[in-house]
Amino acid sequence: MNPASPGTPGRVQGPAPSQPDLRAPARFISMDAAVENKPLRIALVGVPNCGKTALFNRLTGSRQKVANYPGVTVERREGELVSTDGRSLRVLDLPGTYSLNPTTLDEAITRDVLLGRLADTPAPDLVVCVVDAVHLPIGLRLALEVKRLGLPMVLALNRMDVARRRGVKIDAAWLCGELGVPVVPTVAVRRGGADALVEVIEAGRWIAPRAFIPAGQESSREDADQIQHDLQGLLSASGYSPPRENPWFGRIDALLLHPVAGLLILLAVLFVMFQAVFSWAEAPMTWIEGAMNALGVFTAAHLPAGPLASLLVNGVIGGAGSVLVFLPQIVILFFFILALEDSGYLPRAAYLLDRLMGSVGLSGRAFIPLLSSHACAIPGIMATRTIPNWRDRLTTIMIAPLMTCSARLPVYGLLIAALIPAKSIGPFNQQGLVLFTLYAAGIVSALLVAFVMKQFARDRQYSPLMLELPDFQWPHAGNLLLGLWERVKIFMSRVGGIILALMIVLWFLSSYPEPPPGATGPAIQYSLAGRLGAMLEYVFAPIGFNWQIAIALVPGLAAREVAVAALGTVYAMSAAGDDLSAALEPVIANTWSLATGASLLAWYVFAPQCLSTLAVVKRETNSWRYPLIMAGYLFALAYIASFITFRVVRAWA
Amino acid sequence: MKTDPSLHDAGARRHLSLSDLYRGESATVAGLVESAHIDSGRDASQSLITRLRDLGFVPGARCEVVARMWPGGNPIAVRIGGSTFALRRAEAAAVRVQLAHEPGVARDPGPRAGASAVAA
Amino acid sequence: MGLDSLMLQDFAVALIVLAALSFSAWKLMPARRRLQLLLALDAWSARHPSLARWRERSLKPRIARAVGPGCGGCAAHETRSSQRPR
Repeated sequence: MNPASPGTPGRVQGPAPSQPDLRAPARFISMDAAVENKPLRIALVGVPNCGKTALFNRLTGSRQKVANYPGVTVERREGELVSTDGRSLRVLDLPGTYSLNPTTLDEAITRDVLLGRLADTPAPDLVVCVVDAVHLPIGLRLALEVKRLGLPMVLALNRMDVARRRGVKIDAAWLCGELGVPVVPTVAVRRGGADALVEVIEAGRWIAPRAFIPAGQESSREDADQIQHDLQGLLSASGYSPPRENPWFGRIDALLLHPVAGLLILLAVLFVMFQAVFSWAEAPMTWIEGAMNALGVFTAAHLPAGPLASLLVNGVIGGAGSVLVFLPQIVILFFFILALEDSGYLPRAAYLLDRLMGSVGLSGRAFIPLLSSHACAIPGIMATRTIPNWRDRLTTIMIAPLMTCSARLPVYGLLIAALIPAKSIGPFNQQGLVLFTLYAAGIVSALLVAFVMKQFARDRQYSPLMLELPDFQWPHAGNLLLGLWERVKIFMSRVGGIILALMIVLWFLSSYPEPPPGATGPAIQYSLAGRLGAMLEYVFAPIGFNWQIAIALVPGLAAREVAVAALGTVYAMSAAGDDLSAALEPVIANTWSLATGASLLAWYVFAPQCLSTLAVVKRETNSWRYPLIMAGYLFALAYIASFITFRVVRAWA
Repeated sequence: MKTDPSLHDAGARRHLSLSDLYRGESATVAGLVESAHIDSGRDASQSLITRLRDLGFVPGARCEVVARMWPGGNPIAVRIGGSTFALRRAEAAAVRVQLAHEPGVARDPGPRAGASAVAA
Repeated sequence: MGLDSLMLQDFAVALIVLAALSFSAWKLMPARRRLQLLLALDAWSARHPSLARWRERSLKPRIARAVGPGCGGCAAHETRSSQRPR
């Protein structure tokens, strides 16, 4: 397989020639481009970690998270820059790349956009090449490569403040003269730091450098040599010297990257994370629970008994409300993930785990998508675009849903709180331990599945690591808060949106048809949902699920946390008499056996109760085959695991 | 299998690979060669060399090994040009280096697993 | 408030349930089907000039967002746009 064509076979258009087609007449375009009065597209290009995304946020005013390492930036981020004369310019944040000769799908996308190869994305009207002044050579090399494309170009020299502090001397004006394109200093993280750039963009008189390659084609080996030559010439002529080293970074890295200490530290960090998720969230969760209960009582008291009251109390408050309780846990989890991301620690964890992952046939680069999957498998699966080898990438995609995503937290949280006593074993909280075990189970099973998949591999092509470990920085509080706020909004919109809607539908299906007069037992058993549950119970009885769980799993296919809401609704509907405000947790604690609870936990470790994930897999792999295989193997594993767990716990307890 | 210590003799400015360096050692990049450890053909090897060069591994650049993983130094963390990169043995083996220490200085062999030209 | 009337309650509940059903169907629909629906809606509203304002303000941007980048299934990737940089 040609390593110059990474990612999904067929997804990247066109061949990747290593020589330009010498038969085609070379068109050398030399022009002063004055662009007027049409919707303008600007593309941001740069190596990973150059602050390109921060600059994008500064230009578009968008409140997006600034990722500190490659692999999290999603395919195309578009924003809008409104100029002083009211014109709207579209800004595209292209994935970071070290070169226009790509090794990953991510980088191939950047190249394709610049060459105008993507059918639905024309080549940009202006390229803003972002160069980190602190790491000048690597960014400047890319700039020289981009320059050869012949597109109108502006060079944004970012982080000039940091560069000056570290003793790097660059004269932007001199560089401009040498390169022949505008060079604008920017400080993306500061307010007003991009003003100079915006001025240059708005002036509209952009320069398109002379193209050295026929339009639409890639550069050749000779071009690459020439670029290196030019680069060294520029660097020596400018009197460039590498930045002053901060000795602390070296000492910290010696510890964090140490084979033994580093791994222990990683384990400790993860452990603290999971303990905190439970202990810190305790108080706010109790508060929310109390508020929901009070709301339910209030509503029931002020509405006459009837279908509306039932809808609001059982469907809305009992249903959606029971998911809302888990907001604190999710906030804490994301706080840790975002802080680790922002600090630059995560690629170091990838370094530490590369050997281990290699033994099951995964690339160390798979660590970052797999870690992202702990928040949500969907961006994790999309992040696999940074894995060069197609087989590695596919393996990573197939195991990503096994990572314990944040939507499982409400399920885990509910079951653990209801069924596991909150004892302490030494300094460790028993509940936190179980949660850590569940997370570990996800990871271990993922590694096992990867190992199995490796046995079926026909070829074993070498996939490079070559991962940059960015400089440390204190997690930026503003970024962190913004990121958390985003997550809160996403969670609330899911609860207030699809979860609420599905709970209303479930309530409806659980209320009608109404029980015949003189019937005993809770009304829900006579309804549509009840009958469906009774049927499903046959399927799920061997693994210990009762009919309430069986019903809850159906809308639970839409999203994992929906099952909690559904259980809330179903149990609220099953409450005999006027006991409308019983909270879900004590009901489960009193009526479920430990075996059933453990079985459901085991189910949730594996089962793909998330249609969106399967949809994304279809999109990323361009076929129905893989999502179907994924659903198949995951449900099978879930059933087997539940079966074993149920039998074992029942026998043992 | 340990490397012949005479390779590190003061004054014997032989060319080593980046993968042979101890933790904490500095060196100057001498050039890039096709790594025999990459067993999937010339194309992969060439593309590796190109990428390494793009990252800054050019002749004359100073680099330092920040960390080596156990066992076997796979991967290693290298500081070059103000950035740190994690490279596997096979990738680091493609970088030929010249030691930066002065002749006559006694060197303390740090903790290492056997470094050699044998594929990991 | 007149909520004693069971009929009024039934009516309210039916309305809410229908809204919930349509919303769920909309969200769970595959992206392409959703886009087709949006375009059909666009074509239909073009014939009714009284809907022109709604069409411009809400429908068109929605279509642009659906056609644009990103996965429809995850709100995490929606770009908020156009604040003038200060």
